[in-house]
Amino acid sequence: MGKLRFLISIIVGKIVYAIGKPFGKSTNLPGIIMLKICPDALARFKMPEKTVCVTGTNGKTGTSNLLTHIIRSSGKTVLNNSKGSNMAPGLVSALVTDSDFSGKIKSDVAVLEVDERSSQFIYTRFTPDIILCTNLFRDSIMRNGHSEFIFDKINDYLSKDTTLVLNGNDGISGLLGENVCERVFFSVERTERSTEKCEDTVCDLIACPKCHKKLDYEYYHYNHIGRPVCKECGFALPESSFTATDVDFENGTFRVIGKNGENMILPFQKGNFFNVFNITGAVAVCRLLGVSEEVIAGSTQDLSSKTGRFDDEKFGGAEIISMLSKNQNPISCSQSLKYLDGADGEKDVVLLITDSNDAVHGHEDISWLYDTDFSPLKSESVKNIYIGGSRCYDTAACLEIKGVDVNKLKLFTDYSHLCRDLCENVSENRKTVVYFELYATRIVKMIKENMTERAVKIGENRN
Amino acid sequence: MKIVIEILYPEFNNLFGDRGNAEYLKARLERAGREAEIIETYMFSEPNFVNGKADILLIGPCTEKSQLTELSELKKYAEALKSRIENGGVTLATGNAFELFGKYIENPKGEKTECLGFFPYYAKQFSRLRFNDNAVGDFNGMKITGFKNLLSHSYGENPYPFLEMQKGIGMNKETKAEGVHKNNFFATYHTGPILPLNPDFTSYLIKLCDESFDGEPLSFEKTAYDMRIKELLG
Repeated sequence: MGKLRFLISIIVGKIVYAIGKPFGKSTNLPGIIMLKICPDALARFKMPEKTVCVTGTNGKTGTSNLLTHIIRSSGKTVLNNSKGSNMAPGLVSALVTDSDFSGKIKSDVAVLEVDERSSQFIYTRFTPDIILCTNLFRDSIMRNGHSEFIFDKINDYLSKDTTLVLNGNDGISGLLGENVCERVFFSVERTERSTEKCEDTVCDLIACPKCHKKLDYEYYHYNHIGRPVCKECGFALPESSFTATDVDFENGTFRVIGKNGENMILPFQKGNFFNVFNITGAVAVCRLLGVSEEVIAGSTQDLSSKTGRFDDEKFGGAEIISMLSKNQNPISCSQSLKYLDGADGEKDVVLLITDSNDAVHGHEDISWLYDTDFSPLKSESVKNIYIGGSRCYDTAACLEIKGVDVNKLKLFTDYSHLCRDLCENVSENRKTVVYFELYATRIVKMIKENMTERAVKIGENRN
Repeated sequence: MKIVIEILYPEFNNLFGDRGNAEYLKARLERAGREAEIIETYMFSEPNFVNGKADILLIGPCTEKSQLTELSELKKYAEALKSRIENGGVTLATGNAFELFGKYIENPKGEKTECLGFFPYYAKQFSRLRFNDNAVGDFNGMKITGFKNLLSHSYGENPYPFLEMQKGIGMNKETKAEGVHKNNFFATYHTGPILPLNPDFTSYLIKLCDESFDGEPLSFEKTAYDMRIKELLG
């Protein structure tokens, strides 16, 4: 009976996919419907030779895209869910597009990005050969609670048949699967930018996870990512099998040394240090899958120019830089704000970081603002700070408490007023840096449209 | 007079921007020309309040596992905490720190951990799903607003409730009574930066330490507060 349901669900899933595709409804909807027909559909697919899941708080999408790219370069076919959601329906949707009518996946390898909170509905249905966990941090409070809560959500559903690839600089996710799974660690050695003290607003691992005494760090990369060691009980993470060294921030290159003699110089996207972790983690997985060093080194050469969630455009003489700041994620927001420290010249900053769909999603819990490091906004080079949305007064209150000059702040509950004011006062002598959460993409579009109109008008006047 | 604000166990008790409470108190005091100092006490060292050297004591929420460690550590100072409450020491416990002062905490497996036992309520943790809330409650005619992010509710008797909820739940879904208020001790299930969210309550709290305090709020939090109350109460 179960098998029949599954076969029916595949047919329905494929039909829904075909119909939904032109309307952009093909990445989640087939899975939602299939799971209604056959709730254990995920357990019934005949998975490919190798299945890799990528999970963690930050860097999932970048890492799974990179993995897909490298493995494909090795000549294998890869199925991934990069276009869809990373929860069970998204995975089912991705699988049905790649399966035959019996549920057999055609690709050689599946690379699936998995939402941390969905572990229960995924790892209980099939056993991945490899799970790569990028890191665990505090994240959106309303969805994720705290990092220990997420840790348990993953840890409770791990199988001994899965190999874990873990971040050897993260004392939280580095404890996953202890005494259960085979574990392979990757890490980034001390760099010229490592610090002796944690310089970020939050550190999610201050006390030793074993003895609860204050934990020491040989160095920090950022937040709690570094080299934690406990002087009281001796706690430290196991030795890494893949280590990134010689990180050259100027030229955007680093070296990966592997336990089995691997030694490669690879590029990373300049200004994006997280990239080094993502690439090193991906290298570890690829080597476990038997991808050669040559293929890895060759296929990563062209990645350094990809910009990801960063965009820089000129409108007449006005330069607008927009950066995605993950919703309600203080780590992501703090890290993107650091860009201001490194950027030359004067800047205006636009903050569209609180939920722009607040009215629909329900009143936003703004607690995360207090975990965010806004100190780059204190710089003399930041001239005006535009804050938009129904929670703009909350953001402004937090900035004032944290010592940002209130005379720089311009508050707008109405986004169209913000756009108008920004266009009227934009200066060609300053860059405008826009930080936006995912739902505010439409506001960024509105700003750019206004800026285009402005540039056209100025052009006409000049003629 | 210098006001000393002690944050208890910041390495565990800062999950949801809770440090914002101490930073806001300090900003308000300094704006009014007063001196303020934030002291952070790590676990396994003797807290300042034990020797009466904390004007305001803040205890924030922690993870369910570290709550047990914290509890065993705090039991060493149970007498000092009890006399602080009886003698009117200003104390604010937020999130699941509220549970430390009740009878016990029961985990989803049914195992109970004894708490300080100052008040007769007890906590029950639920598994997997977290509870979120945006709430408004009444405290002596003052509206207090806040957020909740919890993995537990509390039950049983609560003879000294802090808030009568107008929107959102009390210490569990069946009651409107929320938190504890006895003398100058306040405990609430609300998490995060409850003080910057409630500028008038913050003034009230500071006045409990220093009657002559008449400082005004900073520039924006009063408007944020008014907007929030209006949105939540409609």
